[in-house]
Amino acid sequence: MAKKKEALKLMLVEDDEVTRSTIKKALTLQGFEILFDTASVKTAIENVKLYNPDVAVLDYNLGKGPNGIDLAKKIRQSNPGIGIVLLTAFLNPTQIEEKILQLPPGSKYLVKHSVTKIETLVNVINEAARFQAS
Amino acid sequence: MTMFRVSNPFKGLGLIPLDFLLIPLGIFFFEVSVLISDVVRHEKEAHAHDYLAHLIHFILLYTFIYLIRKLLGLLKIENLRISALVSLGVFFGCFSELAFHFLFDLLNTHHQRGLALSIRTIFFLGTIWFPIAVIISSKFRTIPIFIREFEHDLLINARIKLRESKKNALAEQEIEQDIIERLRSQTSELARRISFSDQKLAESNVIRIQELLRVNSLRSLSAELESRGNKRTSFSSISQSFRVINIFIRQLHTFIKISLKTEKIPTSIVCLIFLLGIIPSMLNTLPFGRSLLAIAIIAVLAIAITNFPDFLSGRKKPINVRLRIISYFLLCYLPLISNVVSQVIFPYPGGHTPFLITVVNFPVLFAIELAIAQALVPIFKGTVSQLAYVPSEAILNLKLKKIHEELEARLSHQWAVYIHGNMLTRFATTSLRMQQALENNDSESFNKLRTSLIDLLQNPTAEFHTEVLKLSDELSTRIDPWIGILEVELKLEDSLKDLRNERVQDIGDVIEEILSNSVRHGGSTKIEVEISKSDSNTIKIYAIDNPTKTPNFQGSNPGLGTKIFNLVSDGRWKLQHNQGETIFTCFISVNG
Repeated sequence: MAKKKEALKLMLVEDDEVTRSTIKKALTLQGFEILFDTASVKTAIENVKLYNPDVAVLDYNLGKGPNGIDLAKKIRQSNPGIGIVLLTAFLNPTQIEEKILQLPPGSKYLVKHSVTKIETLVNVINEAARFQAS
Repeated sequence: MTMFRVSNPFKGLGLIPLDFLLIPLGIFFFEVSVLISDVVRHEKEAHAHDYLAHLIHFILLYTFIYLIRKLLGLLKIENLRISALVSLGVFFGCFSELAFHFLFDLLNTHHQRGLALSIRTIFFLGTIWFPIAVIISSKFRTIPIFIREFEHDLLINARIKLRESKKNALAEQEIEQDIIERLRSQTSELARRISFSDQKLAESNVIRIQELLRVNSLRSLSAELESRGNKRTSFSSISQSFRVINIFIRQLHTFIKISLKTEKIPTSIVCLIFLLGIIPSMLNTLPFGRSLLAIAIIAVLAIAITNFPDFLSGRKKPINVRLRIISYFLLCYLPLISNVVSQVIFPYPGGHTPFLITVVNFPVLFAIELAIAQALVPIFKGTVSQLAYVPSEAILNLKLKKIHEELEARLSHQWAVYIHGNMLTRFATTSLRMQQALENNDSESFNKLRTSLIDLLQNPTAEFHTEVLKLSDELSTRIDPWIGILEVELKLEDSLKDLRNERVQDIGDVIEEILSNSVRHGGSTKIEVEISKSDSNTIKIYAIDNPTKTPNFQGSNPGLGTKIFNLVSDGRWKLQHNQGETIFTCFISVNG
């Protein structure tokens, strides 16, 4: 469990409501502060400026429209220090490599089924937060 | 006599553009035909000197015509009247005959030319050969432009025809069915194994289900489908060339067949082609008086044969293709018949034309010339647009294969997104929630999750198909998610807002691709999209953006976006870069 002094402020963007609420609940239990969660790219971009979170946890597949990488690039533009974690359902290494190359520097990705063990996601979020520190 | 009607092929020509494009080719054929008729006339094989004389003669004629063209260019003469053109042809003929006499004497060849033969040749070259070669050349340059435009329209037509065909609908069903079967085989096995698992909430049971939900095979299926969408097929340049030639010949054949049913080669042109084929050899093999008489008789016969289909079926009635083919067939063998008959009635030593020429050479060449003329008639008359753009089977098969690739790419991508975006996400969430249920000792939640999971696995396609929206709503679902990343200004014609048919989702897919390409490939921040009716059955999409880098997604190896554009618009789309803007235009049929 993350220590209280390290409580990071997160934003969560996931188009599936059930998944979003499940991850939100799990991360809150792990001591993270979820500043906002949304399925909307527009809301995410507006709120990121308002709340200035430490780390953005983004789903790769956001349904119709932009994907998590498009959003990651945009929020890194407005908040250059923000850490980024991309959740993806892919497992094929070549597909992941192709997509990771397009991510902003310092971004982390996680295959969704690893989230079954919430500690894995916690570790990746903490790693992504170090981008801000560096 | 109303039966014989020969239209004037030079009528309305006025000033003729001076184009010598086909003259070198004409000189070559002229040289070869003179050589052959000389060999026939002298009844012995040509020697090396004879060949050399003809080779030098060919080079001299070519040089002469090149210099004439340069001189006319310097004098800024671009057009000539037919009388001036004939004079130039006679001048060219005089040079040709003088060159023959000079070379034959110089090289002491077997072949010699008398004054009478030279005069006849000059007359033929000046009044017929040269003007016709220039007139055809002046029209000939428009043919490649026509072929390109025709090919473009033809391919679009092939796509439209295929899109509306049952064959295509079946192919689409087959592709989707194959994907669904593969998906079902994976999920039904998973459902079976989860159904057999213990319903009791226990750590071992949760771990077992979580292990099952990792299902790498389903991820592999999703990855494979995704890669199909980006699959790029390429052909070697040699096989590509063979394909192009093969398709061109087959399409030409189809075009000629259609043209034969709808357009007649003017009688004058048929007779002219026929006479041009036989006059040189008649002039060379018969005495002048006899050759003139023979030409006159054979010309009257040719005109009669060419006109007999109209005489039998009536001029204004639809073209009788069978009668027309019979008349062309008779013309093919008229030289053979006339030569045999004339030799029986008025025998002349050396007047017999070899059977190789009358039975094989002439009919084959004449048939080829008629076929070319048949293809050229609608082009020169400008009536191609009235002809149906009927694609050949070769083009249809090629396009069908291409459309299947595009369909497969599009459907595979949609299913891949569905599998990893919906199903695998649901698996991950279910795993996590089962873990939470275990930690909270919540049996009820665990059982609900387990039942819901089995339902999904037993019916994995239930959430794939979405309802068809009206166009304005469909566009909102595509454009709204981009707000914040891309500023989209949409102009949608009022009459289209409530459109609701099977093409609405296609239009949505095109808009989605335009927007994502604009951001991902062009780095744009602003785009204007205009959707309007270009006619009662066609929608025009026009988009203009401000890219920061030049997008390149219309190469020889098309990606998914290009495939979707081709598929949806039947190939009627283009991308232009102009002064820092990228302009996309696309036309979509909405009637089918």
